[in-house]
Amino acid sequence: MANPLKEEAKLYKQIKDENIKVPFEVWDLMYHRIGDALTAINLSCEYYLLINQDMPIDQAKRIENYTRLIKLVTDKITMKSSQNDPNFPEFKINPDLHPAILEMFMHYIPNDMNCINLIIGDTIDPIDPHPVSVEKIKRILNSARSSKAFMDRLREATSQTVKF
Amino acid sequence: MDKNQSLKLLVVDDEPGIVDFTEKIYARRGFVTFGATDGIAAVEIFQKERPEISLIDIHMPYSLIDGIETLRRIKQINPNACCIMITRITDNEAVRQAKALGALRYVTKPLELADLDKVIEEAKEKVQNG
Repeated sequence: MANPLKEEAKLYKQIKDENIKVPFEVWDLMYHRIGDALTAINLSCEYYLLINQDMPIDQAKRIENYTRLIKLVTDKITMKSSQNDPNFPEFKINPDLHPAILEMFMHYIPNDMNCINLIIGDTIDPIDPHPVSVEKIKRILNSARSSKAFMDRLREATSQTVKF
Repeated sequence: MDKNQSLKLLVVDDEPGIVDFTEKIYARRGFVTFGATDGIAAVEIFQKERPEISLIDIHMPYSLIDGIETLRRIKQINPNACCIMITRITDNEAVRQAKALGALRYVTKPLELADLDKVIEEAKEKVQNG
């Protein structure tokens, strides 16, 4: 799970004071691509915790694929990948994120995904592949929840909430 | 006997991992579960099995019909069908349409099990209390 940024409170204050927003296209991409992948990670972890069994290697590999996709999305949002990316045909704009937002995007989700990948990487190591233990599943779930919590916090801080 | 045992739950999402684990989790809780990764298959299952509760993803780019059209067809088969829609926080228009078509509730991705438990419990009470 990603550690909180030291200057997190200051960044959120800046977002609020300066009324900084995240472009709709960025939220849309995040909630579409990251939303599906985080949901799948959450539910698969919850299932193995529910039955109190280790997660098989095949499922661990699927989780690695989800984290790879999430990393692709965050790279796209933070402009690490090129524009007109065929992986993201719906994302045609230059997000031009405010530095305060960018710093958060570059910290939380990538670090949470790295935490998950470190656990999964150990599991699917071709020399000694082994199932993911229940304790490690809990850590994966915590990291996935941390990314969701970040998305919720940021959406709240930018006052970009939707009421049904 | 688990009081959920007689209830059928249909899970519709174009992400197979979500369908698979939602089915597995609620099967362990006593539901009879069915899964579909596209809307057409979901409507066929609904027609045949008549599940009391349907959990339908709105945005399904890999499905022949999206979640709204799936909901519309399910409601044509049974106007009283209890349907919970899964959506993105940015899908305002789709949410409005789903509400107009008679969806019971909405939940937004990324989902956690607690989010699903809450809406499915609500749907279950609605089904059991008529």
